[in-house]
Amino acid sequence: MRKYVDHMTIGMKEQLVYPGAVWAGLFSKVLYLYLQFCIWKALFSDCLEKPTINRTDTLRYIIIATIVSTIMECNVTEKINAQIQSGNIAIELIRPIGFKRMLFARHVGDTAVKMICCTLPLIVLTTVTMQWCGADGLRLPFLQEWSAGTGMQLMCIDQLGYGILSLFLAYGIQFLYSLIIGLLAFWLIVTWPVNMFLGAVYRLLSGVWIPVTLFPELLYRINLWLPFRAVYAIPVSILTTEMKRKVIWQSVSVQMVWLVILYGFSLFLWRVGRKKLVVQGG
Amino acid sequence: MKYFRLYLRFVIVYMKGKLEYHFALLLELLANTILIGVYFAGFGVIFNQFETIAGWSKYEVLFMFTTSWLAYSFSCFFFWSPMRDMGELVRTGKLDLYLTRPVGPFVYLVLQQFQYTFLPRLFLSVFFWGYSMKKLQINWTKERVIFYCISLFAAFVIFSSITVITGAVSFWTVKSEEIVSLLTNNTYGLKNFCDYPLPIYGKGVQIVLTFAVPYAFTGYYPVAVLLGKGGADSYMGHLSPVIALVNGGIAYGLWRLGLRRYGSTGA
Amino acid sequence: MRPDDYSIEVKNLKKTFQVRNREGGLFAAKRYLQIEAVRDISFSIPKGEIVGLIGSNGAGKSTTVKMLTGILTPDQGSIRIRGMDYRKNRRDILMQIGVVFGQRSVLCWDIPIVESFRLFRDMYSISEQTYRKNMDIFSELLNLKEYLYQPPRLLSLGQRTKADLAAALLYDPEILFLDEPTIGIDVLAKDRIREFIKVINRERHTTVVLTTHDVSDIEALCHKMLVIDRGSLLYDGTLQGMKEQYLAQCGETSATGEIELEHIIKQIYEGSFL
Repeated sequence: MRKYVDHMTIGMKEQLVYPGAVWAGLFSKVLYLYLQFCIWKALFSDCLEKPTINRTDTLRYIIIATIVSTIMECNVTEKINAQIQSGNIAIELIRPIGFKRMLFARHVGDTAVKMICCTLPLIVLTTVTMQWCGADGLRLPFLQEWSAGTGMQLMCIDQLGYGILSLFLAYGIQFLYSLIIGLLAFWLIVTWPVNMFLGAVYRLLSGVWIPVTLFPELLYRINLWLPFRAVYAIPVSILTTEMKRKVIWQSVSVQMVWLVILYGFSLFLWRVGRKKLVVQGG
Repeated sequence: MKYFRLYLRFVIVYMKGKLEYHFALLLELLANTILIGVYFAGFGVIFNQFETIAGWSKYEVLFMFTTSWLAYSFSCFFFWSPMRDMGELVRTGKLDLYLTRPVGPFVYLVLQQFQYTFLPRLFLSVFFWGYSMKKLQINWTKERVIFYCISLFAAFVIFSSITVITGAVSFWTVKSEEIVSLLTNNTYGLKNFCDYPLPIYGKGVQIVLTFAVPYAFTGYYPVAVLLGKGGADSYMGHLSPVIALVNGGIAYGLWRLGLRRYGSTGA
Repeated sequence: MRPDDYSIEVKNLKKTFQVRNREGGLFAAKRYLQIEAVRDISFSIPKGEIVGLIGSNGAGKSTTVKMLTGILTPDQGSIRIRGMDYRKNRRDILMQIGVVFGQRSVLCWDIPIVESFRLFRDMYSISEQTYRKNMDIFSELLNLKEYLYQPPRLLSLGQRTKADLAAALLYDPEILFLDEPTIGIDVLAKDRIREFIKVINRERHTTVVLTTHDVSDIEALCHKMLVIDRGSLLYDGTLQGMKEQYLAQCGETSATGEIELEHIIKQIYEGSFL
C-alpha cells in the first residue's frame, strides 16, 4: 500500500512543479465556465418555451459538467505515449509495482491537487456568485450576465450520494479510456493525431460540452450504445436532474458494465502490446 | 523575390521531412479535419434546438465566426507554430543558430515551416462560410465588399499580432505556452468567446474582448455592421483597421524589445 | 599590420549577467545574482590564423564566442569583424562568418542533407558556380558523396559534423567559428575533420576560431591560443610561446623531455600557472 501512496505523492508533486500551469488551468476553467454559461443563458433567453428541455436544468448541467471536468481530465494518455515511444517502458516493466497501478496511483495524486487548486475554488466561486450576489441586489461589475442565474440550486441534494458513486465510476472509466488510447502507442509512430481525434469525438459525445439530451434523435440513440456518456452525461445528470431511483440505478449499472468492458479491453491491449515489446525489444 | 525563393525551398524541405512519415501526415490532416468538423457538428446540434442567440440567426452567427476563423486560420498558418516554439527556442538556446543567419530570426522562423495542419480548419471555414453566405443572401454592394475585405485583413493582422505578442513574451517568462493556451486553446481559450455575438457576455468581458485582447474586431463588430445588427455601437465595426494597426505596432515593438533582451542576457 | 588585415579585433569586452535564482513551489520567490561572465578582454586575430580558445567550464568562453558571432551584445567594449560592427553591418558580417556548434546541427533531421545545402544556397544567395565548386571540393575532402542523399537521422555523428562543416563553408565565409566540433567523434573522423579545416585554412585563408576541451584538437590545428579563465584573458600568444613560458616559469619536464599541453592546461585551470 505504501508504494502506491509514494506514487500518489509523486503525482501531486509533478502537478506542482509548474505552479504557473496550475493557476493558468484554474483561470482557463473559470473563463470556460463563464463562456458556457453565457452561451446557454443567451440561447434560452431568445426562446423561453421549450417543451423538451428546461432552462434551469440545462444551466445547472452545464455548470456542474464544467466543474466535474476538472476532476475527470486525465493526462495518462500522454504519459504512456511518452514512455512507450522513448522505450522507457522497458524499465517500468522490471519494477516490482504494476505499471498500470502505478499510473493510476499517480493519476489519483494528480487529481487530488486539481481538486484543491481547481475544483474547490470553482465550487466556491459558483456558489458564492450564484447564491449571494443576486439576493442582495449586489451586482458585480464584470459579471452582470452571470448574476442573472442567481438563486439557482446547483445540485439535487437528495441524489448527492448516488451522484458521488456515479462520479467514482466515471473516474475509473475515464482512466481506462485514457489508458487504452495511451496503449495504442505500441502500434503507432505518431500518437497525437489519434489523441486529438478521439478527444474531439469524446468532447462531443460525452456531454461535457452539450447536454446529450439535446442531441438529434439519431445521434442520441447511437450514443446510448457508446461509452462516452458514462463519463459526463450520466453522473452530471444524476447530480443535477431529479430522477426516479430506478432510472438512477439503471444509469449506474450502465457505467459498471462499461467499467468491466473497458477494463477487460485494456488488459487485452496491455498483454498483446507487452508481447510485441518483448519480441521487438522496444 | 529572394524570400519567396527561400520560402519555396523551405516548404520543399519541410514537406519532404514530413512525407517521410506520410501515414502520420495523413493522420494529422484527418485528425484536424475531425476536430474542426466536430466543432461544427456541435454548433449544428446546439442550433438544431435553438434558432437564434442574442437576436442573431444561426446563419448569421455562422457567417460571423467563419469570417473570424478564416483570418485566424491564415494567421496561424504563418505565425502559430513559430510563436508556440519560441519558449522552447529561448529555453534551450536554439535561437542562437537563427541569430547567426543573414535572414532575420523572425522571417526565418516564419519561412521555415509550413503549418499544413491548419489547412483543414481553413477549408472547413471556407465551406461553412460559403454555406452561411448562401443562406443569408447578403446584398454585396461594392462598398460592402471593400469594407469586408479590409475588415478581414484587419482581423488577420489582429490575430497575428496577438500570436506574435504571446511569442515575444517568452523572451521574458520562460513558459509562455500557458499564455498561448489561455488565449487559443481549442476548448478553453479566450478566442472561443468570439464565436458568439458579443452582447451575450457581461460588460467587463466585452471590454476585455474589445480593448485588451481585441478578438471582437475579428468577427463580431465588422459583421454586425455588414448585417446591420449593430445598434448604438455600430461605428465600432469601422475601427478594425485602427485596432489592427495599434496591435501590429505593439507586437512589432515587443518583438524588437525581446530580441534586444535576448542579445543582452542570452538563454 | 594594417587594421584591415585583422579578421577580428576585440577591445575591452565586458559582459555581466543577472541570473535569476528561482526556487519551486506555488509562490516562487526570485533572487538575482550578478555574474561577470567576461571582464575586460582585448585581443585581435589576424586574417588566416587558426586560433584555439580554451577555458574551463563557465570560464566565459562560450559567452565570448556568442558575442563574437553576434548572438549576444556586449555590455561594454567593441567587436570589429573585418572592420565592421554588429550594430551597423550585422547582415554583412553574418554573410561572412560560418558557425558550427558541435552539439546543435543546422541540418534538417528527416531529409537528405543535399536539401539542407540547397537551402543554404538560397539563404546566402550563393551563385550556382560557387555552389558547384564548393560541393565538388567538399565531396572530395569530406567524402560527402557517400551520404549526400541520406537524412541526418541515418548518419553517424562524424558524418553529421562533416555535413555541418560543409554547410557552414558553402558560402565562402571569411571567418569560421567552431564550437566543440569534434565532441563525441571517433579518431578517424576527427583526423579527417582536422585535415579538412587545415586545407580550407591554407587554401582560402579562412580565419578559424576554435573552442574546444579537446587538447589534441588544439595541438593538431592551432598556431595561436587564447586562454580565458574567470572572465579574464590569461594568455594570448602562440602555442610554442606558452610551452616556453611554462618551462621558464615552472621548470618542470616530463619523463620524455617533452611537455604535454594537457599538463600545462591542467596547471592553468588549477591556478598554479599564469
